[in-house]
Order: sequence, then structure tokens, then C-alpha cells
Amino acid sequence: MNFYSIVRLCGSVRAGFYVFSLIILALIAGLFFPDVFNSSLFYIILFFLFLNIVLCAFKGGVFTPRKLASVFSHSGVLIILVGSFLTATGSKTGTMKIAKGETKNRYYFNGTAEKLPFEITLSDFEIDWYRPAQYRFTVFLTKERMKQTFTTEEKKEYSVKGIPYTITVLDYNPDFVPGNRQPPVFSSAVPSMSAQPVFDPAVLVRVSSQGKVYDQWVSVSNPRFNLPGDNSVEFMYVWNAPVKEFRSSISIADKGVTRNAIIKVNSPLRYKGYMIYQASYDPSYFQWAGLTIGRDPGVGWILGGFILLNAGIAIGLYRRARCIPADTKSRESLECI
Amino acid sequence: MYLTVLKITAFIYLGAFVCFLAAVFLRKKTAVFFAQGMGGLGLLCNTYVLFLRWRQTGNLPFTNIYEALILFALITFVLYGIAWRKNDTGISGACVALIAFVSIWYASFFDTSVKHLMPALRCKWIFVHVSSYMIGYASLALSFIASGIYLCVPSKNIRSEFAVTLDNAAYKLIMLAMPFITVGLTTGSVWAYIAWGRYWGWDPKETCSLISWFIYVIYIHGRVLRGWKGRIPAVVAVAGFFAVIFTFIGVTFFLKGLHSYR
Repeated sequence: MNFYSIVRLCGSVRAGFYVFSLIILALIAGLFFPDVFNSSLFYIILFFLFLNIVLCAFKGGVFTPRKLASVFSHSGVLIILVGSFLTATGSKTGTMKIAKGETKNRYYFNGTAEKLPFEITLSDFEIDWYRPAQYRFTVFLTKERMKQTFTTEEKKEYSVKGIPYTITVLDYNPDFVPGNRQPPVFSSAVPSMSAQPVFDPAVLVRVSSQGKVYDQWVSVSNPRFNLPGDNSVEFMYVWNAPVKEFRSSISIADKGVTRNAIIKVNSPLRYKGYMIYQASYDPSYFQWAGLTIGRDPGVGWILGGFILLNAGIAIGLYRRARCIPADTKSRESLECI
Repeated sequence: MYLTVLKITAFIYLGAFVCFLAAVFLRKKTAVFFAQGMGGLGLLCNTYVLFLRWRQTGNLPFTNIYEALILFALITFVLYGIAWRKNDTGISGACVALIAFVSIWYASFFDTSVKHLMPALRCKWIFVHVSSYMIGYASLALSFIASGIYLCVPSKNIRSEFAVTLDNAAYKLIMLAMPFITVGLTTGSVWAYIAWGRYWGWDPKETCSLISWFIYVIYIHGRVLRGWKGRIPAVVAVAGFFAVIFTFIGVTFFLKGLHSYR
């Protein structure tokens, strides 16, 4: 097999199908063994995809002026592959853990410190906890061996179906930390039905039955509770992770010029080619923020490739919608690519 | 009120499914029209359910798998109405009604409580990303139906007008779906870059959506460049839709990742 026959083979439609199939197999393998995506074998498969498209283009199968959709979409894929290569080889995205009031100009990428051409100061870090719109409980009727789940809203009395019980969520503790072992400090004394201390209180619940009223802080780690002397009915608070929004107020000092910005999820800061994201925070005392910082030379290529790919496929749809005949036996349909 | 309308919608779709089946056995066009009318009623209720959900949560009903399933049922029936209503003998209508019913019935197993939207989902890209995927998936569901029925056609009738129509319908529907799932894939990537700082992270949902995309890329290249028709593309279309189902629902339960918005 000489050089030209190898080139012809690599640029054939048949080779394209093999490459697609190999990519699908690699992707399936990568679902279970993520290291596949960093392996040289995977990069070789992607290189063959690139090669296949380029060779098909030279053979006139892809890039002909009449086939505008094909030109756009395949160029888009090539540009995306180039962008992916640049990201894999040139991207330096790492993390910076910065405390309130601290100034830093280094972040860590793969364990090594990378110097920034500017300094970042964390002026403030804030976190908002959203009270749940609805609260979920499960009630167990131990004698009947039945259970039902219901949702209720804060300050609204909910009548549990089938039993003379009502349940009302009186309050929500926005600062609770799941798994916290420190006794909470409340502004007012709260009666507790159980002798066990409640360490990570989330919700204050009022249970009423036949004139009796009991209030109880429900714990996240111990969500089950029942009325004293009545073991036939047991309640359980179904905890959902509270929605929180955290944001960092940062100052960037660059050659005597200071720029202030607030960064949060979906709202990163772009500065001198670096993207700065709000990534994590101190979960216990909210004193530091974790930032993701980096520059990726492949992003522009990727976005450009996406635009071309979408444009090509959209043009293809438009042209094909006009060309697919009622009977696909006609080979003319293939000319409408 | 909201859950009641949801249950009514599911039962109307189930009723439409039964009517479509009856129409297949009766072989009467009027029976198909009646079943389609019932499906249309289900569609109205489905739209009302989404409207109520929108009012209840204050967000567009695209933010979790529960809402996405209800939206999927709606779009599937709308696409059926646009693309297939006139040529239907009842079989495809029955399949569509069954898909719509199963989607809503399955959605009822998820947590329906109203929650605050997590910050990562508070982004304008969610509208384009989810809606384009839902349109694409609905179109692929219809192509799956067409290909599935085609595969059930006996070999001796494989060149009949009915079989050729199914084959063409599957092709057209996949061609319709392809731009939408590509927009969904790429806008998801852009959104990930804005929210998480990387446009691709090999999250299981991302990987599975890429697998589905490549399966349909094979389908289109096979039809366009190799002149595929008949059973081979039908098998690829069915396999592609199984990949879509796994991407849409299976990943949430079987693989851990960043896209577990239950």
C-alpha cells in the first residue's frame, strides 16, 4: 500500500464512518473511565477526524462552492477541533483561595503557582440563603404501615390526610450548616420535644393534634420526630439543599489603576484575557472565597466554530427541506446537499 | 388545581391513545379525526399546565426534569400536529399520544414542589438551551416512531408507499432535529463557559449528548453520502433515540454529574 492509497483511504467516507464509530466507542468508555478523554489514543482519534475532513475537502467531497452548508459545518468542526487542541495544550486554568482583605497575585494550576500580571484583593464575600418556597415532610402511620409525603408552605397550617393532625412551619434557620456539631444559639428559647439536643436545626415546626400544640426544631441529621406519648404517627422532614447565592467583591490593582467588580455564578470577570470566576467559599465561617482563574487560548476558536457549525446545519436544513422528494429513490436529492 | 389539571392532561392523552388504537382497527378517517381532536384537547390542557407552573414558580418551566418532561410532551404533540396529522392512519398518533402520556405520568414521580432557582440556572441561555433540545428531542421521538413502525413492516411490503413514507418521514424529522440539538449542544457549552469557566468538562450528560449527536451525524452522512435507505438508517435512528432517552433521563439516575436537576 503506497502513500497515495493511504491518503485516499484516510479521506474516504468509509474511513469517516470508522472514525465516528471510534469516537462513539471512546465516549462510551469515557463515561466509566474518564481518563480516556486525556489519553493519547483519544487525541489520535480526534486527529483522524480532522484528517478525514481535510482530505475529504481536498478530494472535493466537502468544500465545494455549491455545498455551502457542508463548507460551513465542516469548517466549524475543524475550527472546534483546533480550539480543543489549543485548550488542551495552552489553557492554564487554576484556583485561588483568598481570604477577606487579602491581596494575591498567584493562583495554582496543576500544583504549580502561576503569577498574574495584576493583583486581586477580596474586599468582601457575601452569601444569601433563600428560604424554601415549600417544605416537604413524610408522615409514617406505624400501625397501618403507611406513609404519605406532602409539601406545605411557611406559616400555613396543613391538615394531614387521614389523621387529626395539623402541621405548620413556623420558622426556617437560614444559617444552619448540615452536619454541624456545635449547639446552635437562638435569639429566643425554643421548646424541644425530644431530650436530644438539636445540633443543626433547619426548620421550626408546630404539630397540633386534638387541642395539643407542640413546637420542635427539626434537625437535618435527625429529621424524624413524633409527639410525646404517640408513637403511632411519626414525621420526617425531607431536607433539600438550600439554594444559596454567593458573591465576591474584588479589587484588581494593575499598575496603579484599581478596578472594582462583583463576581458570582454566571457573572465572571474578564480582565486582560483572564477569566475570574466565583467557584467556592469557606463553608464554616464564610471568611474566604475560592476563585477559578485562567486564560484559555482555544475559547475564541471554539465559539467561532460553534457559529459556523450551527450556520452550516441551519442552511442544510433549509436547503434539504426544499429538496427531499416524496420518494427518496430519486438520487437527485443527494445533489441538494 | 395545578396537579389536578396535570392528571386530567395525562388521562386525556391516555384517552387519545385508546381512540387512535380504535381508529387503527376501525380503519375510518373520522375515528382518526376524533382521536386527533382528543389529542388536541390534551395539548390545550398541557399548555395550561405549563402556564400554571410558570405562574406558580415565577420562572419559565424549563428548570428541572419534571418541567422538561411536560414541555417534551407538549412539543411532541405540536410537532405531530404540524408534520404528520394529515397522513396519519392512527398508528403514529397512538405512538405520539402514548409518548405524551408516559412523559406526563413519569413526570408525576418527580418532586413537584416549588423551589428557588439555583444561581447556575439563572441565566438567559437556559431558554435557548432547553427549548432547542426539547424541540430536537420531540422531533427525534417522532422519527423514532416512524423508524420503529418501518422496522415492523414485513419485508414483502418494504417498498410499499406506506413504508417509503415512513422512511422519508424519519429522515425529514431527523433533519429537522439536527439543527436544534446542535444549537442545544453548543449553547450548553457556551453557558458552561460562563457559569463554570470551561466550555466542556466531560460531564456524563455532556458526553451522552455528544454520543447522541454523533449517532445522528452517522445517520445523516449515511443517507446523504452512501444513499442509505430502508432498514439500516431505521436501526440507526432507533439506536439514536435510545441514546437520547439515556441522555435526557438515564444519566440523571445512573451517572453522577453536574446536570442532576431533578
